[in-house]
Amino acid sequence: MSLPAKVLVANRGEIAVRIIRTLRTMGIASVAVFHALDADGRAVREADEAVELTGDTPVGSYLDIAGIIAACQATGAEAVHPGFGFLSENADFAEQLAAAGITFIGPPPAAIRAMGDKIESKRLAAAAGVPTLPGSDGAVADVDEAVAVADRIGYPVLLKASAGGGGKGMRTAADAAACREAFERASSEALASFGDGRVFVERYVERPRHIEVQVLADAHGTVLHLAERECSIQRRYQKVIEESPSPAVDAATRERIGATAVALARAVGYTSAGTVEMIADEQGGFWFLEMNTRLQVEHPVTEAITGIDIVAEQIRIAAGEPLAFGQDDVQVSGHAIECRIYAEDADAGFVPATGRLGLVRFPAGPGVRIDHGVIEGQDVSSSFDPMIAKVIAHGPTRDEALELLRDALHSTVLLGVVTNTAFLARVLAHPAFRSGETHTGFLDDHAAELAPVAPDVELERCLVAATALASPRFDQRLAAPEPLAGMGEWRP
Amino acid sequence: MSRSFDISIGEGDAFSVDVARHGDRATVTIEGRPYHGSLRPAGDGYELTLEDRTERLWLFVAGDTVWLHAFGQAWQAQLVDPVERSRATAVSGDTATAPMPGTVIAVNVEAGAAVGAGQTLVVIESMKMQSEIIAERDGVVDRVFVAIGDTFDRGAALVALEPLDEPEEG
Repeated sequence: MSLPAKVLVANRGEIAVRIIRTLRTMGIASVAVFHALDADGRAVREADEAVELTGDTPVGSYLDIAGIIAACQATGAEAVHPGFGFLSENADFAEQLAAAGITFIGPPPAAIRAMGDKIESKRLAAAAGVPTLPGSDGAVADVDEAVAVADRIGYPVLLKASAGGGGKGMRTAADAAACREAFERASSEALASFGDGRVFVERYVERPRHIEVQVLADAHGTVLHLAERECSIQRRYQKVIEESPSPAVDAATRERIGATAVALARAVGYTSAGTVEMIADEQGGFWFLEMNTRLQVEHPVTEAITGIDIVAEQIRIAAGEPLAFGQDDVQVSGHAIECRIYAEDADAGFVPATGRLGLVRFPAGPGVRIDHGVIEGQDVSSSFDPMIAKVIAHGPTRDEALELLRDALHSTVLLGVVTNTAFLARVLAHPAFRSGETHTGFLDDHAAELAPVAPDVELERCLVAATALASPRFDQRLAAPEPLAGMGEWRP
Repeated sequence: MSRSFDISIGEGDAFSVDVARHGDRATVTIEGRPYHGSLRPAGDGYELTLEDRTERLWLFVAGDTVWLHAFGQAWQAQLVDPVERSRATAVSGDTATAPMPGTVIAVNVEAGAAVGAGQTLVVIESMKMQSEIIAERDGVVDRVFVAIGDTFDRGAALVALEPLDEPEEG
């Protein structure tokens, strides 16, 4: 097999731009697909060709399997990279592409299906030797069984929807009465959100770290891990800061959890890039959480410390090429941290913000990578995920990466829409983050210290004066003639 | 003499501000105290000089909202005409507005309905999160501006209550 001559990118925003960039360096032509709202977007501009998709909703356009296959046929694209989100973990999509003779740049449909169900994936992980949390053997039949399991494994427990994700259908319970209520709520929420009300019960880990292992597998039996990422800084069950390596993982632990992730990938016949997510407790225990069968948002931190272009490897693997390196060739070099910039008001419950991005300036320099998909003057609408950009810094040590990243955030200029940029800089500056004391409740635990600080009197005066001098409102009156203006200099 | 405007930074207090320009320099009077300064293009942004202080900054003016990037972060400044504000205050509280952009999931009231403080008027969804929009006071629904499935921006009027007192003829 040989590399495809043309690849369609079935995504939008920064990840579409990032995939197109790798296609260009590989000499592969790119095709973007877009909804009308993204017609002037950066992905459309950077792609060699672009095809408009129509759907019932803007998001629906990017989920239009028939439309994407038609776009491949119209442009002659031989393969599709799905990015993340949208159709990236849709086994039917992968199968329909195959049926149309188009290569899906991702894992086999069977692996997507096996890992897409939390109960089935936990069973497979346990069989492959990955530690799993004690809990129910699959979904519980009813509320009484949920309580019986909880009584057996001990409280607190976590009730989770089998089809869940993003925190939906997830509840904790500290005792039997709470467990009864949590079961009803998790079950009904899961049914409403996913059309599948199955719920399972497992031990709840207090102050857990989110640690995940990046794996790469080719079609010739080589399965590698590219070390771990820690993604404990989350809000609304969504990651906002990720780093690699984890401050809590030493070389021996890296080998141990890497080996279990590789074993699971092998067990499900995995190919392409995938991520085995785990939670770790304060005593250094690791347990399987789920496997994501796609490229992750936070893949750039792994690329920074390993020097491996994960998207390029996905494309080569999908074309049938063997990996050109082995586990011993994968070396961790330095430390990388990523911040996700969202259009949201971090100081008001992280509610999404909209508006026009009137001014956009990103920093550039050694050790700093910016992945973004925005153009100055564009509208940020509520129709899509509110992530604007990812700012990634890579330094010889964690402290140096932190300093680089803080400087980069301070010189990231995004005006016209409220963003979480200043909030992220405050998290990086927090002593507990600096010393690596991170867990998934970090932002809640430190909410008070992370609140915005009002500018001091002198800074505020500068801001007020700049506003006055910039606003056309003051020019709507006649400018004072010179002699009169001189009077303004009189001081009491 | 010319009128002044109120300027506030973020959630901070409002300052009464006046500007007198003379050439490319200006006197900015903040709460009665004059400061000499200038704002000049510099690089891809601006340079503010205020008395003996010089700062690099970036600006985006969107009507009476001025966005600034200075001291390593973004700031939102709001300019208010004190005369216009005094006209507008009579309306606030009577209209429930959207706290964030989103889609209408449910409309629980119709025009003419009596509602109590805290009662749910509309349920909205934004980025997969549902929120209830509640009545701030007891009253009678005057108008419902949205229907199920409508999308709206932050600050959009959703439901208006009838004013408590008939406004005086002006």
